[in-house]
Amino acid sequence: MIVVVLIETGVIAVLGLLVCGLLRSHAEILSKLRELEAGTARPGPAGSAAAAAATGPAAAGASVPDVMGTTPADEVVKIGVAGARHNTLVAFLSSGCLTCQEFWDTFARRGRLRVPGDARLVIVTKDATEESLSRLRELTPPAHPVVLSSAAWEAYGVPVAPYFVYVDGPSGQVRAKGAASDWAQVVDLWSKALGEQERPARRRRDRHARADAELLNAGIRPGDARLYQDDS
Amino acid sequence: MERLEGLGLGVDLPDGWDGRIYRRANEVAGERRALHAANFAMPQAWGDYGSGVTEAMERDGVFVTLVEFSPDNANRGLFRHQGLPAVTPDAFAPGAMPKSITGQAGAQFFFSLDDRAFCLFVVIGSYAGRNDLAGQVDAVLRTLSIA
Repeated sequence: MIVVVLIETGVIAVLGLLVCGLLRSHAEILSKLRELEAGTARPGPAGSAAAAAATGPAAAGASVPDVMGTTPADEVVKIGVAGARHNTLVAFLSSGCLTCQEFWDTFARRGRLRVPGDARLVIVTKDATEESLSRLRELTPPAHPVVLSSAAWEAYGVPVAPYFVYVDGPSGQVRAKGAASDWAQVVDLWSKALGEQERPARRRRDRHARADAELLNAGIRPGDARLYQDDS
Repeated sequence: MERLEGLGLGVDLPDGWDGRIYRRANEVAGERRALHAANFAMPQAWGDYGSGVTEAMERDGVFVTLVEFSPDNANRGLFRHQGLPAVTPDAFAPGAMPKSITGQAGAQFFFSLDDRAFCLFVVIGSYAGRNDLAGQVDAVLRTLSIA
């Protein structure tokens, strides 16, 4: 009897371990699925994946090339991004993705679109071999360029559509990038991300201006010998 | 610097420049090739000779358009000049603009190349700055290839 109980206990323990292992494996699979969903399907709500991507360490500093490709009207185009006088918000969209439709609709509306940092909005899809050209012709908004360029997707490291990259024109460097599910989210996130990057510089400028004003009040002007005295 | 190429036309454009090569049907000239290049963001609504574009130009802006005409016109009349012309500062005049915009100046050239007829029209944002701006245009046009 004791032997049977011991065997049963052992079997139950083994089964328990198996169940725990299965539950853990299941949890890992669910977790991976959620990550995949956030990365390739509909982006998460404001403040989640998009916010992390927009302010992540990989976002800033990378140099990107101008966008070259064709338009839905079969023109060959180059859109000046790096080295341009203006900043550019590159919207990577697809004619087929459901979330992208929200952006196509927004961009097609009449009236001035509020773009963070007053940047130029440029829409980039993949090449015609991976897109529906007839659908793109229907979707192309009148006021913003649409370029078919799989090369740009690669050069800008685009993992998913819709995806946005904000490029500083004069430096040609990426200032922010990430996914979003609607235009309001883009405006909100990008305004914050860009504002946060500008704030330290503005604080420095303010500090310098305050120091200059205090020095002037004390009668110390540029070139004053007292500025260069060695305290030691 | 990137090379924009299509429809047998090609040009090296500096970083930050916009460019497009397209084919546009015209009642008089038939279907023709055209090339636009600008050192600023070209608007989406535009005409062959830059209407809708030059209005967006600032003083340091340049806009270049090359339009092909029917080969029937080549080597004679308006198109008798052979080869791509040099774009020099003295070619520009405020009066050469189809629509006068304060400060801007234009230069227009008709020429033939390999029995094809072309019109080159250049607009600069500042007549006073034509020395520098004409130099920018000439440097770009030196890389132009027409097949």
